[in-house]
Amino acid sequence: MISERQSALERIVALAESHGIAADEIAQHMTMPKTPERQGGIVKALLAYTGGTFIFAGLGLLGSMIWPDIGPLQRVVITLGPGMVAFVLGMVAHREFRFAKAVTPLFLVAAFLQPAGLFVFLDEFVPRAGEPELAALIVFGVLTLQQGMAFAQLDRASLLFLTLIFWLAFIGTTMVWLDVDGDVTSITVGLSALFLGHFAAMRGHHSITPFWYFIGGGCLLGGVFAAVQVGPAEIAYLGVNGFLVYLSIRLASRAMLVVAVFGLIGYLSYFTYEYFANVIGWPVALIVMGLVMIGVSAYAFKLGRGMGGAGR
Amino acid sequence: MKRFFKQNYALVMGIALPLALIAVFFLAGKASVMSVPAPQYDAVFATNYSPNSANTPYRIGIDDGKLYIRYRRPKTGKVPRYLREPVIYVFDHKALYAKKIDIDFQNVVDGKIMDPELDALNRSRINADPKSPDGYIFERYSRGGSGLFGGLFGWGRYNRGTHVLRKGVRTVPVVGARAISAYSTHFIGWIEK
Repeated sequence: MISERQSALERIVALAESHGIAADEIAQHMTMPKTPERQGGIVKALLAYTGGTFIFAGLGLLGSMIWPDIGPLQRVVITLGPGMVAFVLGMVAHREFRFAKAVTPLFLVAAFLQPAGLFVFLDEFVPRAGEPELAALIVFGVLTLQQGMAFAQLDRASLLFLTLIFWLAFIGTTMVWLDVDGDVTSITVGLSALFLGHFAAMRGHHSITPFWYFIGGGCLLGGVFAAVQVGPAEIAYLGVNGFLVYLSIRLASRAMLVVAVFGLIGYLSYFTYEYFANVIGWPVALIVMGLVMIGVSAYAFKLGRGMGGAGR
Repeated sequence: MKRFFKQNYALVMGIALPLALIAVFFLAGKASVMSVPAPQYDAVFATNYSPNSANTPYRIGIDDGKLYIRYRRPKTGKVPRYLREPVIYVFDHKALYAKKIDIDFQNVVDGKIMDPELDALNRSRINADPKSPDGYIFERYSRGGSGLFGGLFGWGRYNRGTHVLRKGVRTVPVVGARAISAYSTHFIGWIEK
């Protein structure tokens, strides 16, 4: 597993070699005091982002105000249209180094507007007699394919992140449509998120891995708990939780460790309340549980430090 | 291909696992539907009605295979401020659709509601047994919540109908033109041919 630091260093070396920059030039630049021009660059970026947000909000509000007065085609055009344009612009901007910073915001805007536009399209042009889950399946399925293919082409972390969001939404919606129990859906979504988070780590996209490990671990533990709660297999939850702790050590993931520790502490609280609440030893059990929590958290902290600069 | 799977096992598992589970649940659902025949009898039920409620002046029942609706003026002489008249539905087992029966609750004769729609309904015999002759039961849809995604988007159970006809593993949602209340719904009987 390549740490983020190591990965960053390798990128710097690759850039320096491709532009013929020597090591002492880099060191010189790093020690240079921040000039007013550089500080002004921060202000410029801040104002640009804030301005962009205002424009986006204003356009959204304008759209909502004129919504009752426009026809179906116009509604689709003002929602899906900008989304598709933003996506295409993102693909084009990726090829131009000077627009590198605009790529992720464009893809994010597209990811927000395209599903909205597709839902508007289905609402306006498709008869309402069907099931709404089916409409969502179509929307999320199409967007998963779109984002997935774009990721396969461009190999960007933002595209992989968006692909995972749409993929998990597609899976969850399909299972709701099939009347699958919520706990089974949660376990499936959690496992898928964990595997795909690991795939992201294997591809070097460590910036998004902690988030998916956290979400995946949380969904998995929540689903398992709901499935085995108040039953003979209740203790099996501890097995799954323990496995998640082991996995977090193997993968050097602090995010997964955090969710596993929270899951364990939560289960201990539930177990104590469920079986010891009416027993005279309840206060004693609380104290013991508190000491256990401190012990577990200290051990988890030690483990986390041991993971060092893995940053996952 | 082997090399692809070895290098991308996480991607393959992340995609294949949920798809496999979806396929299993889909096929299991279809198999359960095929093993149990469709319902053969129409069901009659009422909403906005609870037989145990002291506030309602209406009493719905079956007498010798005929549906009756009795009206009893409240003892205080005062009509409740918000009088809710029951709504009678007939669930068509062929169309799988619950149709509302329009009844004039103002036409009270000898303490009973008289209406041509009721008379038309009473041309067939109505069986008050909770279980239909072909084994179906009318009940509230009591499965667990629609889960995270259903909850987030407000889908799942409510759109399928709050009540179902159930026999074994097969459930037939009872849906009508308007949402049927999950509460204060009372099963009346099965229409026998």
